[in-house]
Amino acid sequence: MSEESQEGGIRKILIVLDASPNSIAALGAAAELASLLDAELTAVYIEDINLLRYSSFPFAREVSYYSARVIEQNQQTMELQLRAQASRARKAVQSIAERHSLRSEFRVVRGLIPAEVLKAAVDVDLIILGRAGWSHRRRLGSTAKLVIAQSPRHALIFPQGQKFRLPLGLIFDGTVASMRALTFANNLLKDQQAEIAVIILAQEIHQARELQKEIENWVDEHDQQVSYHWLIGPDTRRLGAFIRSEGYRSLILPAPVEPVAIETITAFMDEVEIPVLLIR
Amino acid sequence: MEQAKQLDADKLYTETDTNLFNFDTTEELTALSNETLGQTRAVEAMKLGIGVQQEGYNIYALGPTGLGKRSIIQQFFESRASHDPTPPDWVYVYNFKQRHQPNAIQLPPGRGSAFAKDMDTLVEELKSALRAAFESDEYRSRRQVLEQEYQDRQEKALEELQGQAKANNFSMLRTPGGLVFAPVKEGEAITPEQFQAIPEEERKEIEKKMEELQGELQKILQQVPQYQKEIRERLKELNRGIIDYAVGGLIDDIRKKYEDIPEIPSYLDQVEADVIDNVEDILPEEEESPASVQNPLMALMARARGSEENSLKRYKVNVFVDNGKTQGAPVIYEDNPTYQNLIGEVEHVAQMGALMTDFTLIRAGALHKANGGFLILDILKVLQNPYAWEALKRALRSGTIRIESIGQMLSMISTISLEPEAIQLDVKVALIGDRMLYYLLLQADPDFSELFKVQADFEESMERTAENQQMYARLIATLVRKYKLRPFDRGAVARIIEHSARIAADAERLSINVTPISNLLIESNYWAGEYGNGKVTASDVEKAIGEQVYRGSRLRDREQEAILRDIFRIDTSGERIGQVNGLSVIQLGNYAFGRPSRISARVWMGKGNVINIEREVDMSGPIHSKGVLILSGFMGARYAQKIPLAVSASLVFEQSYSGVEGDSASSAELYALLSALAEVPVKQNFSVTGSVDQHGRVQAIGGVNEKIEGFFDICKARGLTGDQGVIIPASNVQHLMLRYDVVEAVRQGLFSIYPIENIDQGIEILTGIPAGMMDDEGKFPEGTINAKVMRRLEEFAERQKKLEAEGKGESLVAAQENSK
Repeated sequence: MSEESQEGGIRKILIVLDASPNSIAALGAAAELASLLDAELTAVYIEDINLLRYSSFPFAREVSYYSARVIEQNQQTMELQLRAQASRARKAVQSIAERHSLRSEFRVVRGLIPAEVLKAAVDVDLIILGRAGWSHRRRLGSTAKLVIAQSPRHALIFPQGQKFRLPLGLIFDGTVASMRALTFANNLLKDQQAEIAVIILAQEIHQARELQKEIENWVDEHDQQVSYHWLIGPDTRRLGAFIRSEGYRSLILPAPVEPVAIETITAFMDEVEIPVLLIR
Repeated sequence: MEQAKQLDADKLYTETDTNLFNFDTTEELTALSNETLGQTRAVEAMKLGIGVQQEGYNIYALGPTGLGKRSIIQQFFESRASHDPTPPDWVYVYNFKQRHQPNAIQLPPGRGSAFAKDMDTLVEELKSALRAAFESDEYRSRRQVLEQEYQDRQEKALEELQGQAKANNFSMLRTPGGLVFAPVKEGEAITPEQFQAIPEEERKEIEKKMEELQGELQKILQQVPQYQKEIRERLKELNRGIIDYAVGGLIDDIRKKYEDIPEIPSYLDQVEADVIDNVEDILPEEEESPASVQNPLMALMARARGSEENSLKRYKVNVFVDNGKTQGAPVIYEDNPTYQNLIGEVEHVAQMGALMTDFTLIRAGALHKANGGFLILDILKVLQNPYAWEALKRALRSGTIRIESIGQMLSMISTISLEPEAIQLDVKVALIGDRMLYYLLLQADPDFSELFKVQADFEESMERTAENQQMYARLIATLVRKYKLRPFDRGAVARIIEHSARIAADAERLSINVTPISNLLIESNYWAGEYGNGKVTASDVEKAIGEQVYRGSRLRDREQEAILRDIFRIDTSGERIGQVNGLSVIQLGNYAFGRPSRISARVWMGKGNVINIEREVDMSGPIHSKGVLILSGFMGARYAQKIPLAVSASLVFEQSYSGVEGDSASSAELYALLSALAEVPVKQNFSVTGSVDQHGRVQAIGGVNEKIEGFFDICKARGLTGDQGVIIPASNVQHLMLRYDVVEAVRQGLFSIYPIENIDQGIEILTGIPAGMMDDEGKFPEGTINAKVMRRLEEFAERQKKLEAEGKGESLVAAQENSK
């Protein structure tokens, strides 16, 4: 991680592309964000080693997603298919980078998807994940869950077909990550006269008051409009309901300090159904 | 035989008595309600044409231009149309079943545009109402629930399958094209080597299980289209409900308003159904779709093809016949009757380089606009425009108007264009044109007599009775008012009526061709203005006529100059054998003038044939040739009853460099022939006109006034001697409307005009010798012209007989004939 990124700056954004169409769809959203943050876009296409292994079996068969027919597979055709898809992904990355005047990089790697994602994440500040899977599923895929659980990087998760949009909600619980989230949001909105809706999470009212004061001090130093909402003694369900009722279209979430079960975070993300940026 | 007497001056010009008129100027006269003066026959025909409703009773108005045919027909049609009901409006609407065949709907007059406006309002409200309804949380959440349900169903099945796979140590993996079940060990797909290490029985078990899983997956995926269809149906059902709620009321309002028009409720049902089917096209997308971001051209094309505007355009109403402001039935005159202007057309607009069209681009033709009323067309223009005549006939025959492009009609273009529904046609058509076209169409086009049964034949002149002259004065008053001219006094009116008789070339008839009379009125008014007169007088009219003649008379002046300078040789004094002054008329547009021509004859012994030199060189028209042949008939019958006509003669128009046509010179040719035979000179101070029959009777000719004036002008220029004059057929006296200076010269005895009935009267005047009547023995009195002719012919016959007796006759005559 570069020094700037320690202060909340984001210089490199990773997008992982694989066989799922959702990952390509997330590319547009990633490019838009990279352009806003003036960051470099790193796209990695992972050739799933499991698929290649499987296709070398003489009995390898694929059930076509489009015709529901069983089709014979072999390693050669599988390699060709993956290469063709990688090539499509490369073109998509190039064209989108040109349109947004982005610096971009495209790599093809082969291996197990979760491992390769984590490996690629080492060099970047932010990982963007589409909701991978075989259907238009709403729930987070296993890879996303793994990244959230294991990667120390910021992560942005898009539900299918959505982009990072205003109004922006930000969850503030007084942690270091909360402050970083504020700085990040401030960077993101620097050219727009937009407001950050800060949702202060506290167990007691006085805590909330203190947290708000803390933010007000920060606001004094930064040119940023902020509105405050308190949630006292919250749980994820109440928080989700509040976010939905306020109609936020994107959310910045600081990574919890206490070791919260990863399922809690992913369940929350599944519930709100808007792009969620997890700040560490 | 009675000798011909010269005409009195008062027979040369029939004046209009100003005492007929009890007004001072035309201001006191009431205008004619229409310009049908003298057109009783045509008026009766038009009444029939308008009155008979059966098929084919359309009108053809025949006559030369300038008779006011169009304005008369227009007046008739308009007076009838004002009592007729106003025909319906016609609109074209989108055909939801066959989009290239727009439907036509008829509505009571004025309600077409109201309907269009109502539909426009509906579309406007539709947009906002639908947007409000579809963006409402209620709709969104209901839709989401629906989609969710479908997704969940599939998801659940796949997740179950995944669970099943996992339990059997398989992992369900996604490939670029589908899903596979890979055998796994500790989360990783096993390699073939690892697989080989497994006992065979287990391996078989794995393969079997994998096949089972594949079968299960197939089942799930096979259900996808069914699910999708189901969800579409359910979404549609949801949309229907929400649309009903949002716009049902709006559509119901229109439905109620137009429930008396049978087509509209069902049309509105279709609109409603279409809105439900296409609500996604109607509502604009909130954000750019990924496709449009990646390919701007595609986005542009998509916008052109199926954008919100385009989908809403379907609900527009094209009011292509709007009778909202029409009082009674329409009367349409189509000035430019092209194919498209007659039957309407489907216009196109260029879109992305292609020509596109839709039902809103259907444009009505003259037949649509005149439907339920009357249409006036100029037949010449119709015939000049390709396929217009065919299209008109087809519409009248079928009683419907079908809009087709010429390419479609000729089956030359097979690309899909619109085929608008044909509409019923009920129209009365009047064609205006000249007589020649009428008779040509009657002969050449079998449909014509079926479709245009009423012939309205317009007169060019009318009788010059006292009553008609009074009516004519009112016609003049009407035109004076129409053109906003100074009032015309009695004298001016009389002079115009006299001129109208001159145009009709008949002292007893008046021309009812309004154009030359209107021109004369306007020009007389101009001269009155130039002279500072408050009203137009006879002298202004005289000036205008003089100026008209002067403007058109350049050629006449050159011809006269050529005669006066003896380039064209015309004698106006002295005597010559076998030479007569004939008279011809030269017509230049609407100006005509007379010119004398020298006609000469030579005779010799021969076999009784008259050589028409003009004919020998193909410069003689058929009527002229016929006139010359008649001369042979006359000669033979009169002189060769007892002896052979042993003479040959040649006749020629001297110094004629263009053709000769007409028989008006045949009497002059006969005089020249008789003079040559009788060897009696002809007085050159006379000029002759008139045709002759086989009995020697002289018959009427045309252009008598111009001919007399033509000779008079030459004599006057050389100096009138008092013995000069013109011999004319007696039957032409009624046509005399001579110029004032001619009449004056005759009155003063300086010029004379002799009307004659037969050749003998003419030859007496020309030679001063009696013609001579044949007695019972077939002989003519000695010293007469006929006797001299007879004597000469007998000489020829005797000599020929003598020569034949000597055996030389044949060869001699033949030699003489050959030498000609």
